[in-house]
Amino acid sequence: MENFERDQWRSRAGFIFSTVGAAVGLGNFWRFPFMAYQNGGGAFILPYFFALLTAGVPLMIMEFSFGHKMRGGATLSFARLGKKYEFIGWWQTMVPLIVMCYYSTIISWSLNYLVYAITQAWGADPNAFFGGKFLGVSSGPWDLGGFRWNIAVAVIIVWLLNYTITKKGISGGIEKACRVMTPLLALLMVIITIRGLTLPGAAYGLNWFLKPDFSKIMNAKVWIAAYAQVFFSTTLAVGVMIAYASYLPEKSDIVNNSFITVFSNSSFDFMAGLAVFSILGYVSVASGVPFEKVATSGAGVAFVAFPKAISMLPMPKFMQSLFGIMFFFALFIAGISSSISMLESFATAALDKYNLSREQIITRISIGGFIGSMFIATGAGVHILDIVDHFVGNYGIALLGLIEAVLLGYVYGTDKIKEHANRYSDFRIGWWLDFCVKYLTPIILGYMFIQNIINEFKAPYSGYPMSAVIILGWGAAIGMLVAALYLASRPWTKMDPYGQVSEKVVSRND
Amino acid sequence: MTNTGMEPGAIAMLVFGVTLLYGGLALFISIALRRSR
Repeated sequence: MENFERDQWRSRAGFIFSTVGAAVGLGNFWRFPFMAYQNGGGAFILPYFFALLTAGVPLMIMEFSFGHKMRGGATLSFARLGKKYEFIGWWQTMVPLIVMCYYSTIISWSLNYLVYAITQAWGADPNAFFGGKFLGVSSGPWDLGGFRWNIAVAVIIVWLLNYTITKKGISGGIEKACRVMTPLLALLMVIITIRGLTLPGAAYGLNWFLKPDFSKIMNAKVWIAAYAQVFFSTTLAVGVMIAYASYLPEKSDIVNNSFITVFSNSSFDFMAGLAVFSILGYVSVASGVPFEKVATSGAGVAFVAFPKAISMLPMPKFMQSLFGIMFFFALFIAGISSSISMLESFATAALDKYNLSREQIITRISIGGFIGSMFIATGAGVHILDIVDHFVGNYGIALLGLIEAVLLGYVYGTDKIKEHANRYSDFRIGWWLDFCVKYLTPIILGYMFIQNIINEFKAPYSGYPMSAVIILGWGAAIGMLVAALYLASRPWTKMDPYGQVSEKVVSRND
Repeated sequence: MTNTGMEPGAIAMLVFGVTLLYGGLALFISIALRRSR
């Protein structure tokens, strides 16, 4: 059974630029550098590289092979594995649907800061500016604190971009956009990194990032942190890579494309570490503030530490502003190339099942996502996104990764994954994939999941009110599953070219 | 804090990271390019 009117990537480079664009996101800038900093500095590279080869690459091969073989997004692929597994596909695509809402708002922060960089509007105290004048952070998640109109306007622009690119489809929209955005992002990153490395004090910052503390790599927590970093950073288990691979031509490489995607993402990770820590080293040395106080993890790096660094750079003010514009533009591009992949994950799932046009589906998702983003454009936005992100990440993505590895490893079978992946690939894979998918990944993700559950019941997350944790956190995590079960129970309405409802589109299981 | 140079351990890990990640990436891209010819 073939798929009707299924779009296709026009080139291998276009596919790789798009998968790298999907994987490289805002987290590359502020997650990896601090994971290394907190987990043994340069010594962290060892477990990180091990995790890359035993989780990142094998799971990417698994997802590419599965999506390509089944010729469908996550929903159709899992439905073809067995009708009772269809809900897993919907569950996976629910994650990007929710993440998109707050992710688009964070991209809109970059857009705002891109404009602020012109005049360096954050002034002498970027911390007070970010939390006060810009975000207007309210007292808690239930205190909306009014709309931030500057953020809301940028959210409209971000969603118009998401809509415009994905509406044009895989080859006409996403591939064309990523062929420009991903190389441009790499170029901007190289420029930012070179500027960082040539600053006085850069070496001081790099010592914090790279000086190895090998005693830490004997600690199991560091290895779990490395696996979590690789797993979350490569956009696995959320239906994106399955959907993208489903649009590959039949005779396509799977194995080497996986290696290139995962290594590109990690190269961005490492380069971001060099850029961020060299610039923070300069700020620490130039201002006389201890490094530990300069190095704030999370979004604070981009919107507090970097603005401070930009205003302190030893160059004329217009050059400082130009550097700031470049940095926030790089963040913006990294964000957009990821957000369109999230939109595409759910859109492909819906396109495969329902008799609706791409434009109808993209319009509906965009309107829904835009409304969701508007809640984050309020004074309570940071609280809401913090809670939702924690629960969606820990009880959505990690759990789905575990389920996917078990299902594809044992029910579908690693032999089928390998056989399909090896058919047209530049080089072949063997027993290593069986070991990683069937044993190592389930053990690590299972351990992570149990640890998270134990920690969750020790105290409410981050001290938020229990009502917010239950409604926003557990509500989002469990709501995704309930919505997935509902969608899986609905009939397939996709029509074939002769106008007949094609329930049998899911029946292929070869 | 001082504006000193990079420590030997940090330099070693920098070289190690660059070699593994960028070397690995260059290797896989070169295989893809060779096969496409």
